[in-house]
Amino acid sequence: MAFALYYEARPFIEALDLKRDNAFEKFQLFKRRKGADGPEVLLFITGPDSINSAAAVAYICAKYPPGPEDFLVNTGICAGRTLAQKGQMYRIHTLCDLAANRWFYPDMFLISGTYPEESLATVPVPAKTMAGLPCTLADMEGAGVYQAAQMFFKQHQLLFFKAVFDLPDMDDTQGSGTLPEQVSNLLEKFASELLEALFKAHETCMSNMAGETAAFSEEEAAAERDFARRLRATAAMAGQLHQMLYYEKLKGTDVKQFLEDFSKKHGFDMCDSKKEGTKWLDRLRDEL
Amino acid sequence: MTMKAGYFSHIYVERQILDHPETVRILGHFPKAEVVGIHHYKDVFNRKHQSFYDQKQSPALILARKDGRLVYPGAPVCQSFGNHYFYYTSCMMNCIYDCEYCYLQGMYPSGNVVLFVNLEDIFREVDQLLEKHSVYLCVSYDTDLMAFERIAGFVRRWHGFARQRPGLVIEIRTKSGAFGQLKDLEPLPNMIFAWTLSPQKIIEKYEHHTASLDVRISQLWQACEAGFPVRVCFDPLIWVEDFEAVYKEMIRQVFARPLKPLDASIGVFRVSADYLKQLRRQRPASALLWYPFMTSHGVYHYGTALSEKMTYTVKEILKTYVDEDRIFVWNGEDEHGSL
Repeated sequence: MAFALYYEARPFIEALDLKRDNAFEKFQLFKRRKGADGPEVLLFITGPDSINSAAAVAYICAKYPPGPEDFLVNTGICAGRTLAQKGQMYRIHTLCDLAANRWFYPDMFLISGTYPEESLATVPVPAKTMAGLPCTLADMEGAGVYQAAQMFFKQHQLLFFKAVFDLPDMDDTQGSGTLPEQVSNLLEKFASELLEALFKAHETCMSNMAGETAAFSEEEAAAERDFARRLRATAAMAGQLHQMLYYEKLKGTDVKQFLEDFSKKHGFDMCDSKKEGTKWLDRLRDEL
Repeated sequence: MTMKAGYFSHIYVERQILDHPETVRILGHFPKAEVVGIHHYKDVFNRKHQSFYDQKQSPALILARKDGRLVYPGAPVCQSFGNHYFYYTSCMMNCIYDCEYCYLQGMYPSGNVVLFVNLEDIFREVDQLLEKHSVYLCVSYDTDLMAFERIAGFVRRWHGFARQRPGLVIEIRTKSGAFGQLKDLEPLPNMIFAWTLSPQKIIEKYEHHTASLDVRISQLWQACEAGFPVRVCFDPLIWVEDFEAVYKEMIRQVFARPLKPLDASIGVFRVSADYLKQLRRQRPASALLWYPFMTSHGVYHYGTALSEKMTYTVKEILKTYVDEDRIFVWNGEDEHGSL
């Protein structure tokens, strides 16, 4: 989870009971391990603006390479246009790097319907007016996070949520408390609900994953090694053998039994040469 | 098929066609979808690091305008069924079905569906070709147009177009059970409906969300009885245990009622090396894709001996029902792969 500022992240740090990793020097990093109450979480504070956020994301992802089951979530405050938007959380379907006029579209299918959706322009300086901006909302980090994160994640693993904190074009009466407190209070309203949606999406993602690669048991692996030895297999032949056995494994065959049955049926014992081994490999292919 | 929950929850629309009548009509089918304006369909379709497999579980729809060349010559080594002026066009990219062996997983960076609303421009280009010579045109190559008929209505529009152009022959290839939506159409001799047929156990295991064999067969008969020329496509042939018995039974079912198809095609599964790498990456647990294929000229297949055995077996069974000179067999040179 990437946040520009500590007081944006605070409600989430508290809700998840994250512990600061004091050994981590580059950015503020908070963690918790996978447990009964949810997946492992890394939360880091990028600092404001696009370059800081891109640098932080790239650094964290290089240090903790994400897998297919991971998400990158960027949450924080943004500027909006209308009173109706103020205090509302939005899911972002379009990001625009205004300085470069580049547009980005993260996949949206994992979470839908929880929040209204909008477009977000990432601007290089705080927006004094929304007039002329090509998107409904504006922040200073989103597109930077996206551009760095897309090098490490698939499109559906990138999730952006922004709560409208200020309205540059309107008389914006300040709430009570200091600015940091107001930001924390705003995001605190959404923390539990958002986390619940994220964890549910994580479960969906896990259950949709395209199936684990088939793992050989130790006995099967040993049977494969022994068969390769008897073939006097070269590296290429061993690769072909593995391919055939992997196919059989995916079909649900007991690989050890398959090799034993083959050896018994054809009287296969030990090859005198690699050339002979190649012929036996072809015969094994015929059994598939 | 009915759209699963999550299909087309988001529809990306090129801003230049927001007011196109087809755009308005199609969006009307999805009142709850989030409509996102984009500049060009490739801004979404060609993004890096997309998961084709994950997108297939919940695809987005992209409405766009097709520019540049719209009708392409069929590759000389593809099955033209004896037609000299052989072309294909893509009114849609990707399919709502999810077949594990589909080459589109290797060809396209995205599992989202692109629909080009400017069919009238494709028609115009076909007319330009028809001024010079007759045209045999495959319109459902990189997609399944019939499966999307309820939304797009493109098959019906192609019918209207072909009706007034006797020099044009079009093929609509499908794995769907959607012919019922078209049964009011006047049969045309120049509009061929082609069903891809696989044994039911292969459909269940590898051709996700497609119509069952029984449904496809009944559709085939409906189209035939309605007076349309039909083509039966046994392509790809997939190697399974008891191959001969399984395919013999399937073909028996197809021809259980008198059926006189226009022709038939047979082809073993084959796929380019580059595509197979992608397919395997997308589906690490698909037995079909992890068969130890042999390679020749950059194309993976079952090996000459097994391929010939499979092809010969099916052809011999098929000869009982279809004249041999109307059976077209893939000869080992098609590099795109099976549909």
